[in-house]
Amino acid sequence: MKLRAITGLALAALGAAVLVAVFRPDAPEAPPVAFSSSAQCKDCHAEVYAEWEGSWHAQSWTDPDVRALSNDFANTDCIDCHAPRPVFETGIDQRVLPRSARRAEGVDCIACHALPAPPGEAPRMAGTLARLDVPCRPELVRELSTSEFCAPCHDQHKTVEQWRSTRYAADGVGCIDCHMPFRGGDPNRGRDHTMHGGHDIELVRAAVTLTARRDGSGLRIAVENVGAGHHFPTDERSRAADVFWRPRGETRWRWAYRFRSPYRDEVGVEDTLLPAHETREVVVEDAPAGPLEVALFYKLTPYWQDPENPDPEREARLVHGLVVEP
Amino acid sequence: MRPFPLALLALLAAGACGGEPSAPPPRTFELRAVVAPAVAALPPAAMPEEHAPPLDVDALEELLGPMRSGDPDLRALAVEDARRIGAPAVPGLAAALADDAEDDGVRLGCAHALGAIATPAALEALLACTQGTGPAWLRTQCADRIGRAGRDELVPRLLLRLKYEKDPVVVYWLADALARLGNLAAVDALYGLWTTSQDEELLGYVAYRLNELAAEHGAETADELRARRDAGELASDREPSAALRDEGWRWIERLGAYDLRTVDDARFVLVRLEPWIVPLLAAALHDETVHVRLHAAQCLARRGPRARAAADELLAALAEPRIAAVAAEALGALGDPRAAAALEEALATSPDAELRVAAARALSRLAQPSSRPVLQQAFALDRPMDLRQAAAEALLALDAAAEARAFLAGCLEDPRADGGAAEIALEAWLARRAADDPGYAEALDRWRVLAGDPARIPDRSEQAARRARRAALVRGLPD
Repeated sequence: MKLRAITGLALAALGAAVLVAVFRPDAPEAPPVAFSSSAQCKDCHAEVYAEWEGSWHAQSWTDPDVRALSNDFANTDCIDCHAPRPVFETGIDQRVLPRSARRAEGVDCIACHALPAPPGEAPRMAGTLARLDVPCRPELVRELSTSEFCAPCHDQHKTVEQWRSTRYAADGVGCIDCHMPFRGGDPNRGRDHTMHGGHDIELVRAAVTLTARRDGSGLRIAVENVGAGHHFPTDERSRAADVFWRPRGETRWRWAYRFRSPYRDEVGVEDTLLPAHETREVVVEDAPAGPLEVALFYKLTPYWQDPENPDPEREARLVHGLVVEP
Repeated sequence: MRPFPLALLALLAAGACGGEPSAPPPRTFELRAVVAPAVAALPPAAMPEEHAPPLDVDALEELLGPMRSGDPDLRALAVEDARRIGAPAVPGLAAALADDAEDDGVRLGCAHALGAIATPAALEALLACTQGTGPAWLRTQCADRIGRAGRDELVPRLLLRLKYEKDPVVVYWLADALARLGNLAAVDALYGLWTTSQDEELLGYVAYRLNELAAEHGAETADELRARRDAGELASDREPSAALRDEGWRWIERLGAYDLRTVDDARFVLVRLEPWIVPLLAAALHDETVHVRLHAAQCLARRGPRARAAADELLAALAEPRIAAVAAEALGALGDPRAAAALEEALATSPDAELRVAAARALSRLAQPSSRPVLQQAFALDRPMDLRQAAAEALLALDAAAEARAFLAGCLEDPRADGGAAEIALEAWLARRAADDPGYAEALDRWRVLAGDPARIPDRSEQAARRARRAALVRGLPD
């Protein structure tokens, strides 16, 4: 009897829900809004906006490293991706176009979400829901969550191309699975717009492993790309990762190997990026006896202040370190 | 009936109807296939393959052996023999030139011999050597021989070498080769060496060559030569060959590439070709591919006054929404004050936020007093932040407004503003004022000291501290 009552109540509730869903009056259509700044998104999307505001996308125009390396954007070639017009304006299979307005907003909400609109009409926004009752009037656009969507900028340094040849691509694991995970792992909370990348040392640590062992009189060091869905490091010729070693107790690190893709004018410098799933071994001949420290450091700008005597602890970030006992 | 009376009748009828004059038709900018058909119509590019059978090993050794002797006379004779043999000698000479293990005398002789043969394959081998990892002295020899060969269709690829070559002596010989082939980007390269090199011997060569070029182009001094080039008043009197014009279209086609490296290279070359390229770039503004027309506009912008012949097309391009903003900035860079009226209209009336900001920046470059009212309107409190900042920068270029200066000082500390652009505008303003006023000269010195160590990139907090100090400095200046 009790079971029948519960079942009856549940069915009644379900029926009521269906009736409400089917017969509820349509929500009134929101008047279209012309979005001219990402700041307009803040009122409704406070959490997303706060994440983006602290992200490197938001700082792509203002970051001191970028300004220095682009000569304050006198090198206008950099503007295309550091202050882009909307990706959907040109399409995800095309390069983005550079923006003249709002450059200080960098890679902003509008760059990723604005859809092209006919002349005189306010643009709708690409999203994961289709609604007309909110000011941005989102449209469901599945391409927004594909890796191809990131390509117009990030494939200029071949990151998406690198990803295409990995097992992750074959398994359907794309850019956003690592760089825009669901908040707290919960799909109902939406994706994190902080968009962690090379500036997040924990993410860098998860990308590679470092191992080392004695091999006769030498030292054999191995770095394996276990977690990056692309080469390590990637995206920027400015990025570099360096393997160092030293006898324990010494302060000066000795350089052993560099992972980096050279600038075009660096003739004769080999591209040494480490593809996904691969391991690279570095051998130090005639390593001294006694315990040895080995470390992998990561640099956001490629050059050492004193190339003859680099100081990784001051100028780079420690990814992994270990001690090889005799 | 002939067309003229018909038109007259229509005019009379319109007059009889009276009333308001009809609104002008909306301005349109025609888009069409421009570059693809132009490239399709070109003859095939010179093929480097030679059809003559290559020399056998013994015959090649007869050429290389005397070069290996180290005797300059024997080397000269071998070069002359190679010239007489011509195309069949090229594969062997090219291989020896590229061989890092080969004797230096042989490689030198091969460079001279290939320059003397000067077939497409021979020149290709010399160009490959200028791009390679071989020693600098060999790259200089190859650049020199290309310049002497007289084939101007190689100018674009020599220009591209200027982008990547780091050895100052090789840069000198690349510039020399370009000058021989009628390209005056050589002047910029030589001036670059003049201002950066510490090598006294090289500086002597540079001064001599600049003075030589000045005399060739009717300039009293090398400085006058440079000033005329910057003002767009200097061009080679050498007509480009048909093959070089063809190359021009091929480089414009690269503006549509997906890979920005290719586009960057093409922009670098197209900006440095002689003025014959300007009408081609102006035509490319109409191309149906948005990237081609946008980057063509950027090339014209970077040419500055050396693109004045494209002013009319750029004015018309203000009606093309995808490139209007870049066209506006290009008009500013051209420095032609006749563009001011159209830019003022765009700033005042365009619904396109991109175009309004770009027009304000362009007016900043033109610095015409007539622009002041429309810039003041754009600077009004209710306008968007980026437009206000662009207008303030332009008003500062007119030396007009304490208000604009104060606003830009605020931009140095406002995270919503483009602090970097505000620093550039304020420093330029201080430099202009410092030229006439010792008080401002002292302020400019203090401003520059605040920049800190140029060899070190500041972090975010250091950048903020620097800008705060600079803002205080500007606020402390007298009105």
